[in-house]
Formats: sequence, C-alpha cells, structure tokens
Amino acid sequence: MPTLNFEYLPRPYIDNNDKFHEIYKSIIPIRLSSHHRLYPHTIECLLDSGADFNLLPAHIGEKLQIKINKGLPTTHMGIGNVGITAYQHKVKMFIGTYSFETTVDFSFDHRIPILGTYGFFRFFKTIIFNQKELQTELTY
Amino acid sequence: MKKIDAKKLIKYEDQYVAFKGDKSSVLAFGITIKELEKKLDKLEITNAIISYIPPIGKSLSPLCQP
Repeated sequence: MPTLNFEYLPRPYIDNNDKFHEIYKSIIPIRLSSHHRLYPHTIECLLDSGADFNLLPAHIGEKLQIKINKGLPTTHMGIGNVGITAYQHKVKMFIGTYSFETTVDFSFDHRIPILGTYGFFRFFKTIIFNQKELQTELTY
Repeated sequence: MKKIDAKKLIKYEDQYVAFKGDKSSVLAFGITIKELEKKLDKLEITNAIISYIPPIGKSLSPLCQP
C-alpha cells in the first residue's frame, strides 16, 4: 500500500507562567483545485479527528474563483457552542502524488485550515499518529 | 532538512506565513490569506507553503459540524 509520511510541525505556545513550549501538531500539506484551476500554493492543514468536514478560510475558494455563497450553507459548531457559517463546494485535493474528489466548507469566519474525518480521513486506509517518531503516516 | 525554529514563529501569531520549500525561512506573512497572497504575487512567488500560526497564549480546539 502506498504510504505518505509527514513530520509533525512544532507550533509555539506560551503558558500562563510565560514558559515557552513547542506543541507538535499533525499538519498535512495539500494542494487544491476546482474546475481545473489550481490554487497556486501549498496549504498546510491541521489533521483534526474531531472535525467532520474540511474547513478552510473562504479566500482560498475565492482565489479558485469559486462563488462561495452559492455553496450549500452549513453550520459548524464545537467548543464553546459557537457556530459559524460555511459553504460547501466540491474540490479536488492533492497530497503528494495522491488525489481525490472531496468537499471543502469555506467560511469567512474561520482561519485555521482543517481536514476532517468525512472530508479527508475516509479516503485513506490507515492514518497513524506516530507519537514516538512525531509523524503522521497515511496509507491509501 | 533544516526547519525554522518554532520560537521564531512567535511574532507571527494569529497570522498566515509563507515558507519556501525547505521551510527554513519565512518569505512573507499577512493577517489574512488575501494579504499574504498579495505579497507573494508582488514577489512573483508561486508554490509557497502557506501555514497559519495560532495565537500563542491560547489552546487550540477546532470545530465539528453538528
């Protein structure tokens, strides 16, 4: 089975005692296309097993000339019971040499790119969060 | 592969940064992706790696759809 490996990436965090920490996160680089237009850059997305769908800032979709508000309106909720509106669109997603058709919910109220279980995880046979090696292993 | 030190990302908290391929340095940054893209377009850079740096003093707990 083909395997893709991505090292966890450290992100800075400063606690209430002003102590610096590095929090290692499972972050996956993806490319996106829609209607044969390719977004010009790689987007690093947080692999989030607690999220159902992919959720990206709306401007990425606008750059692909997607009419954001014409997508299926959805509400995303979670921590703190706060809800945001997103619009679902079909896209083609590329991870290394692997690609598949999926959906992305684009929101004007969201900043961190997220890959969720139904929008991303289900296109893989296994996803291993290797905490010893600090890397994510995806097989498809 | 040499990677950028996480401490050097502190000044970019709650912003988007663009790395070059080896992630050794930040090419440009912006509060929004749109702002970052404009800078990259001006620099005539394509194929950058865009990443969001979360707020430093806050824990991250992303969303799910009901």
